[in-house]
Amino acid sequence: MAAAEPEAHLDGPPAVLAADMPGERPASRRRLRLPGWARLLLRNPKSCFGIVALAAMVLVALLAPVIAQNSPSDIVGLPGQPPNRDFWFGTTDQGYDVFAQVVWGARTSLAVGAAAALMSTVIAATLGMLAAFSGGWIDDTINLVTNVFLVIPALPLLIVVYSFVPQRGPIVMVLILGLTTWAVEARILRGQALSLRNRDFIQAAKVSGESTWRIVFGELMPNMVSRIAAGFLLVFYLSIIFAAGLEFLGFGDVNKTTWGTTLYWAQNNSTVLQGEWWHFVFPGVALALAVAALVFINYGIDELANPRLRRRTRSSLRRRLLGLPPRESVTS
Amino acid sequence: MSPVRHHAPPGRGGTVLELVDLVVEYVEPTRRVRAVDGVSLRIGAGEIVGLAGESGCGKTTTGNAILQILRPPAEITGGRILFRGADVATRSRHELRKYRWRSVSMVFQSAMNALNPVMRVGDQFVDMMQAHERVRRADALRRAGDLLELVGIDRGRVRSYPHELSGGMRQRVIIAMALALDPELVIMDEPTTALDVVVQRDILVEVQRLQKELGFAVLFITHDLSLLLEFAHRIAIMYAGEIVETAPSGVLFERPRHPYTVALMRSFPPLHGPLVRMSAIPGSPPDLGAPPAGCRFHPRCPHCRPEESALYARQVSERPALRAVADEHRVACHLVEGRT
Amino acid sequence: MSAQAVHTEGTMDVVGLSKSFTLRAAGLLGGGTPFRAVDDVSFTLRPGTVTALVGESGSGKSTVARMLARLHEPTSGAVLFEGTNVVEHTRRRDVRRYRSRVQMIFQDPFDSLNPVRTIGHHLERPLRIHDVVPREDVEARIHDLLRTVGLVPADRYAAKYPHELSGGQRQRVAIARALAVEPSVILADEPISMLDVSIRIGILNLILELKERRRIGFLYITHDIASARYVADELLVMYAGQVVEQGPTDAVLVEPLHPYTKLLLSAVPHPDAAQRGAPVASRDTRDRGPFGPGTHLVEVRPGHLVRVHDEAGTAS
Repeated sequence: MAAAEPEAHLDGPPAVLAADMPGERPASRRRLRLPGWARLLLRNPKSCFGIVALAAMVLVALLAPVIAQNSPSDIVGLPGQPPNRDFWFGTTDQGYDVFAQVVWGARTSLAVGAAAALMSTVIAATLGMLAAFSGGWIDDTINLVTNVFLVIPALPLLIVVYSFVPQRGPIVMVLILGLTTWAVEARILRGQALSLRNRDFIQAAKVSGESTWRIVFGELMPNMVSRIAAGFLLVFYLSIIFAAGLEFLGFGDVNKTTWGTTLYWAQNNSTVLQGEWWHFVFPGVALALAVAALVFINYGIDELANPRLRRRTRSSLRRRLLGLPPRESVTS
Repeated sequence: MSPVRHHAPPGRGGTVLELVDLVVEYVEPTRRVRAVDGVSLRIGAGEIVGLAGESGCGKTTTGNAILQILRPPAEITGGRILFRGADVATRSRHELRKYRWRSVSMVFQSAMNALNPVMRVGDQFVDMMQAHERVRRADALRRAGDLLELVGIDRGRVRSYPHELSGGMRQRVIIAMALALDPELVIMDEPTTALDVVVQRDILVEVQRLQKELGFAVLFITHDLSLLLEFAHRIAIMYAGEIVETAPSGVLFERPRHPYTVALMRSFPPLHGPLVRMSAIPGSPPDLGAPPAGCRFHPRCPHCRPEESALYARQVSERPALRAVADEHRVACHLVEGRT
Repeated sequence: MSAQAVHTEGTMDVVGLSKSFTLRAAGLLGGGTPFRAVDDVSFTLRPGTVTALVGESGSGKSTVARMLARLHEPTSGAVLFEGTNVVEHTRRRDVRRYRSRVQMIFQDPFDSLNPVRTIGHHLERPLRIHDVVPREDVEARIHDLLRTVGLVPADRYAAKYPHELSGGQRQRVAIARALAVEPSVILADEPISMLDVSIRIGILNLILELKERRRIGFLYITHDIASARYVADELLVMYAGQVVEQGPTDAVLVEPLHPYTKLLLSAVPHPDAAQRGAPVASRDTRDRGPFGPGTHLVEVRPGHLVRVHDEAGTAS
């Protein structure tokens, strides 16, 4: 072997300076930027709508005492009024303020959905990653449990449990929803974790001496965030629907104010037959809007997870606007 | 089904493909990147032309452009592609379907990318043939068997699934598929990169044999210059979207003129002969969104020195044109004067 | 090859290393055919030297590296690092200690870095796990490591994500990560095969420099015998899990004894046909030489071993 050159690390000048690298922005233009994922979500029109709508509803829910002057559980006006200047959403046939009910109901409905989604996602992610990473009998046991829970249909189970449970508040609702919805996501997350487990960077972390715990939560999970987030949003809107469904059927605590219970009372008091559409249309629209917002945000998350779905080029947009056919470009 | 035709042997038969100042751009909302910037190349009937360069130089994009399989945001925005003298870009969708695979076909780098893992090999041939011609399944299968034998695989393998074949055999299947409709030009994009050196040699020797027997031309795209020096008739070196040197392979090996070609040839550690410490090319290939002004290689060129002010001024401002320095030997470099 | 381990610092003795996998049979009731991925491989890796394992895919060379990195468990054999058989280590503390002395670089620069973590994170983790430097010095050490592998300015690189770097730069980061723990041995599994041709020499030179300056022992795994010639002091040729020839690099390349070695050498593309060795052998595996059960290694010249049939006596 020839003798080494006296002191150079490399041959010739040092390797590429960071400033030469593609995509590098000059320092002068550095201003506060949103992280890449936030920008992407806002750029996609569907998820942008979803984020704005959801944010607006959360804001309304939080500011309920300020926005709705009346309490939802007080009789504050003449019964059966259509929407007017004093009561924007009208009054029920008992005299409750529908607007107050929708605004205050948002709190419970959204909170129950979020809490159930949180619980479900935590269980699903933990069990899914644990099963994938441990393998062996741990994997087999978790798979068995997951399969059992998968087979159980959620809504009938909810109804059955509810019939037996003495206390019917939102907390029980959250628990039951969380326990019946985690299984599907657990299976999906396990699959994704399995495919990531044999990637070289995980093996490299092992060789570096990283503990299993830190590999799973520090290296593996950050790569699964978009899938976990998508799952969270899914269970979130499923929970809103399930909860509203149960309450509509009378299984919730009918004295609490939620969108579902408002609908229950609307149906119970036959307001439809009386033509008082405002009693059920407004809570119904609120429900639909919340669910739609979450579904739309998931479109953006899809793009985050799969970069190939992104990107509309200026060229193809221009062509579409001009009414020109797309360029021939597909493989034979 | 027509029997395998024999094309004119090399030297006769004229030009099969000619690229004239081809420009391919990736059009993004914020910028346009020229992946291929004014490439001119000629491929004669029965010739093996090598296109060598490193990742990002535009060689794969060139191959895709010839076959008209560029995906957005890539678009051909300039120049012409002439197959047997006729412009490919103006063809209708129907004509393009005839052009692809019958006139020009392609062998991809990874067989597992090109083969459907859940279909038997024979069925994939049938699928492909029926997409291009009216042929009965039994005839197509028989022809598939013929093609497998042509590339040295037992015809019974028509019933195998891709995963049942070794890597080398899968690559031969891809080559057989590329030859199925008797094209005049086969583009091979890194056909042996994923294979071991022994299998690679087997396959390339096979391709040479087939090429002599059937008379098709080959555009061989690869980063491995040593392969081309042994197997190609002529070689074109690509850098940052441009062709910087073309020559017959023997001439290129003996007398490379462009500094990048020289440096590239010196990047292969020798298996025989004296062992000396070698140098990598400093820096890295440029960002094609903002390539260096003038000669694109100048930031990394050992012959580009500010002290030589007159020459330096040209190197940083003027793009060198491809100039002939000998018969069939062209170089794009300010240091090289054209033939007087 | 000596039968006893040499107990010098940083020396790794591999003795009779073997690994069998069980391929699942098609039947539902299991039972599987054993597949010998690595069969009785022995060699010694000394500090400040490069030992190359050359072979094609399926030869078992990567499996050897993964066993030495403790990613796979050997079916039999011993790995003696500084005299102790590390295969028998079960305690976390022992494993961790081994990992602070023996590191690995992977083949795919695009896969060996976590895409959602910065370069700085990749270098920080080994420093923190093994307490290489006190916490307040970690950042400075990260910059040092990046400078050592030629990535400057270091602070800019530390903040970047893998997708912002080229393949060659990522491989340098992988080397920096391996260097973080100040290892005695680095296992390099095809570190350049996925890089551009003009970048490869830079990485090989870096390996040579680290070998000379820091006296690190490298196990260099490759299918490219020419690059092995460039960096390696000792060469092992593997086929189907077995070593068919081993010895000092020059000895093996100048005088290849085993038919498979000759086949490998003749298959390397070269424009000048006269430079090639023996004419290309046929695809017939029977012509490839002695291997499989019923063969063993004999020392034909000092340090130069070749695999022969048990009954016969010579390889060619």
